[in-house]
Amino acid sequence: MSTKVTSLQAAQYAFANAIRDPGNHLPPAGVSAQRLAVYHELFFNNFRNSLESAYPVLHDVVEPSLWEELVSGFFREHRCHTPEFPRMPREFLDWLTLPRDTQEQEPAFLPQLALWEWTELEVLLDPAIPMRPLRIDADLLDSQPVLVPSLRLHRFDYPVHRIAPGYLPDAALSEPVHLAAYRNAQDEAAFLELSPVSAALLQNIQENHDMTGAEHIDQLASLMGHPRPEQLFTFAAAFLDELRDKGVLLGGCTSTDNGDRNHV
Amino acid sequence: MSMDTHSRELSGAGLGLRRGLVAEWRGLTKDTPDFIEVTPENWMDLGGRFAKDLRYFTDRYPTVCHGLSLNLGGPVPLDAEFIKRLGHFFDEHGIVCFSEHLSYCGDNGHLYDLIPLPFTDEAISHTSERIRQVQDMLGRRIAVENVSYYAEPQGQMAELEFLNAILSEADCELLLDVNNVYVNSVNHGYDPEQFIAALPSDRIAYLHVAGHLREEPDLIIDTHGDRVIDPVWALLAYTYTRHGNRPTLLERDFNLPPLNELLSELAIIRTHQTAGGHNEHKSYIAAGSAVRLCQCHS
Repeated sequence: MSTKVTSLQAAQYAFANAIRDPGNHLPPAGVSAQRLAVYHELFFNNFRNSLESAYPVLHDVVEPSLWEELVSGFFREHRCHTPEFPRMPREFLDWLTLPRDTQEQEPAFLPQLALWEWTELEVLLDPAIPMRPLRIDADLLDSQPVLVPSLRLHRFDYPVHRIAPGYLPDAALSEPVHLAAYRNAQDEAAFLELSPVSAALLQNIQENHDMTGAEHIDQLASLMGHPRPEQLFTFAAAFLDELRDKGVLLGGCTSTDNGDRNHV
Repeated sequence: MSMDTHSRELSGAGLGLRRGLVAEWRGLTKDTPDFIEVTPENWMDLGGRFAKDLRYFTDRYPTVCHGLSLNLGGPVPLDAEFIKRLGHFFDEHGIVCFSEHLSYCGDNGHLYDLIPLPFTDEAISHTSERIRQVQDMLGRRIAVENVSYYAEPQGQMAELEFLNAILSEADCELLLDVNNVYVNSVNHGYDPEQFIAALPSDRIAYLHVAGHLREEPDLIIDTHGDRVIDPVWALLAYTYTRHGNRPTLLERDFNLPPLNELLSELAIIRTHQTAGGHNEHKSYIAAGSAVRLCQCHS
């Protein structure tokens, strides 16, 4: 394939560059500065509106000038690859977390708050469905627990789920906070704050489909070197039932046919 | 490729499916739109509530798709993976017609909005070739829409000549956006009726009509955020007189009013269709005939 840039391509890149950054790029021939400004404003506002609805807390807690700077930096510098507009805000998160010239007034929690807000949105969009035969009422100790496919587990250095204009942590927590987000049976985004042990259990279930609930708990107990495994067992068994009530666990699988889920 | 053996007719007045309309629209049993239009990029590969809503509507209404991100005139290669996913989406939802914009929507990244092509021979051959590629990959003919533009990059011909050349070279259909013709006739000073009269009747798959925003005497922005204005209704009536009764879709993206207001605009469309429609043109779509999916005949 030829890599030569055609005159059409050159004109297209010139127009797009000028739309992204009218201060530093001249519009192509035939396009006035006034009409370039119309395009810049339309396109930029489309990005801004979408990002403000995807990251409402972030938008609320940073200075308006910083927000403007972030959105225009993203609009100018980043090249979005998803054709699906509802997934565009995910690319803002990618851009925020990549090495870039950060602004002085950017709070340290910013990338983690963005990850949490995207996660809350992502669980609503996730098309994955459970790919294993499951029984809703299965005994969760004897069967392989099946998680709701939208479940996302994250560990944060800041209490991102409590950040609000009146609560802006300036230092990291001494112990990280474990959060789970998922789409519940009512198709709403729900979240759980987890203890480190609960988080480890959930992560193990997510990563190892062929183990029963009892095997997961045993493994956790030996990993922790728990002095009284039977105590952990009682606690964890009750926890699994609670997860099913909340819709984090859909049920249990007793089949040996262990097809993997489709994550998108 | 779709092997759907059902055939469906597209006719009457349709309404674009928007998330903000879903709650009210779901319960509607009277004066329902004759068909719906879905932007695939806003609905594809979603789960939960979005997937259920989409299924509810595509199960109940003949559905056309109107894409945004194909980048038909764009400077980077077509996204083959995305086109494949579009094809699956069309099969999954029994999509009777697919349209895209005669423009480009980014450079080496998506900008999610429409940038006007220069009206040049080079742009005609580049874009026609890509439309043909998309038609081959999807196994169906597609329709391209005349877009609103607020600036005209230096070119060699008028919009009309450019549009007709594309239809001919790409061998594709036309989604004639009557509001865009009006918007461009004001923004660029041409006669909208002459423009419409000079388009090939047999290529028109369906029509769009919408409201817009008058920013300045010589600048209209195609916002889809208001009622259709009288001069656009008149131009729509003229289009029916000139090209026959065509399926027509109302676009409304912002300032969504109560659904009733949109349904009353659909009633206006139907009135004009009846008045101008002595010359009956339905877009008849036989989904089994892979080559000519957006076919119109009188």
